[in-house]
Amino acid sequence: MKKSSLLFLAGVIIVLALGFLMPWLLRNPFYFFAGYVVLQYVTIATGWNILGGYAGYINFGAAGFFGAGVYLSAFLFTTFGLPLPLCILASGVFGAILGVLMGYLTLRIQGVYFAIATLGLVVVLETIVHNISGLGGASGMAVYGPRPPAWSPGPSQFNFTVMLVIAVASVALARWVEISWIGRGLRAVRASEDAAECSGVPTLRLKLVACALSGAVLAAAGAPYPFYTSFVEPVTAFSLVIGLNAIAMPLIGGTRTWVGPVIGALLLASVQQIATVTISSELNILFVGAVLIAFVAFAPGGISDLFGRNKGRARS
Amino acid sequence: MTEPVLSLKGVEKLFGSFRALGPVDLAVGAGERLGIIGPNGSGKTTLINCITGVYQPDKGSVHFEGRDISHLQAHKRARMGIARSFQIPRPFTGMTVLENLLVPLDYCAVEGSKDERARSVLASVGLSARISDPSEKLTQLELRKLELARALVGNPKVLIADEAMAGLSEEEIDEVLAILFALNRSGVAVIMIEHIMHAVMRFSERVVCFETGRLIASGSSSEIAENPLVQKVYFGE
Amino acid sequence: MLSIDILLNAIVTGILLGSVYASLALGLGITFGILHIPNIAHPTLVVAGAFFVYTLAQWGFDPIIAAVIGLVPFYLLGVALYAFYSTVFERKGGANVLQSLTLFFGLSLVIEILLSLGFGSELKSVSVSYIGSSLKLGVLTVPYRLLIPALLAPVTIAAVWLYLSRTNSGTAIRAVAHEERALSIAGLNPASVKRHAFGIATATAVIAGAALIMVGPIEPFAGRYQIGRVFAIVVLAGMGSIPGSLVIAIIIGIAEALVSSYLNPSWSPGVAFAILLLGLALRPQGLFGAAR
Repeated sequence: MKKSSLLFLAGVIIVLALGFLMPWLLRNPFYFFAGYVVLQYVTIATGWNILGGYAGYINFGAAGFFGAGVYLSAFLFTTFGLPLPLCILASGVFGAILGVLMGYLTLRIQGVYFAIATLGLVVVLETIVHNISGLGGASGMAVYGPRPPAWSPGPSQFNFTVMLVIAVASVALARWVEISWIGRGLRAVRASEDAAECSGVPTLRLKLVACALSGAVLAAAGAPYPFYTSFVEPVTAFSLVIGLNAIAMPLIGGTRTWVGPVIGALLLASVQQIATVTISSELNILFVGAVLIAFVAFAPGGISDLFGRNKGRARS
Repeated sequence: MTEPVLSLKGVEKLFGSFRALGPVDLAVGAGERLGIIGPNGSGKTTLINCITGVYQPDKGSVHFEGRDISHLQAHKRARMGIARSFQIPRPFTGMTVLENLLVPLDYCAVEGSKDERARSVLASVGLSARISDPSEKLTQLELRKLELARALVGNPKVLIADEAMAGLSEEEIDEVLAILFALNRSGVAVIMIEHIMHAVMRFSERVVCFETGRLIASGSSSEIAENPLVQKVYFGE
Repeated sequence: MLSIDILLNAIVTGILLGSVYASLALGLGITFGILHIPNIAHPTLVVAGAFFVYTLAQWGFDPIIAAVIGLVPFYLLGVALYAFYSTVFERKGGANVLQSLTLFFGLSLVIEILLSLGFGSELKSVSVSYIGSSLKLGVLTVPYRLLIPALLAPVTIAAVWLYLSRTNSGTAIRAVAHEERALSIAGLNPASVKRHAFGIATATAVIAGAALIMVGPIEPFAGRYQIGRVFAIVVLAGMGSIPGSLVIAIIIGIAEALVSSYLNPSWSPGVAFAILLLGLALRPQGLFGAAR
């Protein structure tokens, strides 16, 4: 194994160990309640970046994948009593299928059509959920989550640890994609699709792989959400804020490596968690929207490019 | 001519009701140096796209090493040994010069160390000094060389050089020609699409001329230069 | 039992709705269809137009007069938007589609929030004497609130189409995406042609906004339910085919009206998107566009 991979593995172990220990060290459950959201966004930003950052295909419908995960997990748990890990897994698989479906229908043409199709995905999924009474329709449904196991002091802490495991797994997946032949192929696709294809890169297949992985992570990010809020409704599950943050966080942090979305999510989600106490959610969206415009317009490489060692890198 | 490595039989490409190409019959011998000339819009680019797989021909067939590849996707043709460079260089931005060459090496079966292969190809086109620079920082000439290096790193059997010399100075044209000659000496067939007449004429063993989607003349450089049909295309009556 | 009546009414409603959708898509047909700028903020600009009309209507202006007044400020807004867009991207040598998508996405959010801060998030409507009643023709019942906006659309579309096809500056707009160099040779500045085109596209948003708010009450975030529709229209009509967009819009309108009448109105937001996906999968070059 390479030195950088060993370092990464060490980091993963430390973070996971902290995640299991922290609930016993910090007594106030609020930290874990807020921390859950931050980790959820780390997962979302990381998942979005597999397709959006590496391959350069913008997905405006992150909330669609997330909401699909939320509802599938809630449905499987309340109807069949499926254990939590299986709910998460099932959501991931469903997200992957949804991603491939979207990709297969639109990616053969041009990136811009994929982006437009994802814009509509949220509306369609929301419409479907609205019309299924078994899922609570527009008024939503209550979900009574699993009792936290003995190794966790309470539900907030337990949800936090579950989300941490998902986030770490997602980051590890993104890093693996990035350093493997898939990542190099995707970056070639991002730079020039024709040149990649003529260099032997199976561009369509790679993009579909990226769609599947990205969709899986985005949907998995939503899987524990019903247990976190104990209640799911279309408005929050398919929230605009999720779609916005999914794009803004990687773009602000930097889209070229796995570090960017993590930095962006930690920064932006923490600011939002602190800010929700003081400002309205509308001002919150206004703030994120303005920051997003500023970064796209003036610093397309994101924070990791502004401060990183690749300072001289041209923007593309 | 030697055994053809690439042959087109009755290839046609239509866009709606507009016939952009064909029907065209054309064979390229193994290790041949073929020049393709013709005015803008004469179908040269469509021809390349039909060979490399960006388009699939509406009629006719494309054979490569005896195999019908008419309906293969572009990346599969690239892996079989049909490489191309682009008229406007398309480097993989965000990657170093070396990484640019690792992309085809990741996806085309090449024996031995990928890194060594990439370095030796970069040395052969004179880009050794730029190996770890981001590809965005290259000059026009260096971009052209990178384009060629990326095309030939996967050991192709046919290289299509699409206006690889447009916009270069005379000395730079000589450099690019030297790279193509050296490549050809190692047995690779080179198809040169070019507007710079003296370069095509000097390079090619055989030149074909296209006009409105059809092949109107074929012959040695001197035969083509004196062909009345070709003269009419280029100089009018 | 009365299924023929229901069917007829659904079809007529669909045609009228489709006509309104066509006016929503008109601006996008210019920016995306002709200039190839993926302006996903266009539906939000239409909503902004609707709020402009609402504001003037509060002061006693007729919505259509208000829309005509709005043409100038919205034209200028469009010019300013394009100026910002081009200074940010085009000086770097051509805009990156994905970055511009993100930019317009951010822009639409900011506009939505500003509208919501300025007007509140409740539904707003305009009331005019001629909007309330309905026209009855045999079994058909056509509410004026739908008929008037639906008649507005073909007029606007025809005006824009005549401008694009019959005048020199219109021809320049159609040429600019493909023949930028030729345009410069002819002594026209491509940047100013595009700026002008973007201005016209944005100006159509206020007309569409007037149509939208006459059809029904509107809230600041209403734009997002129109995105699927307007892109479906522009893409399926074939990029840049403005007369074709009217036909596609009417097809979508009829499909939605049928789904509303026979299934449930709550399904209709998904209809346009389903049609778009189907269209992209089956005929990516559009139904009326030149095959390329």
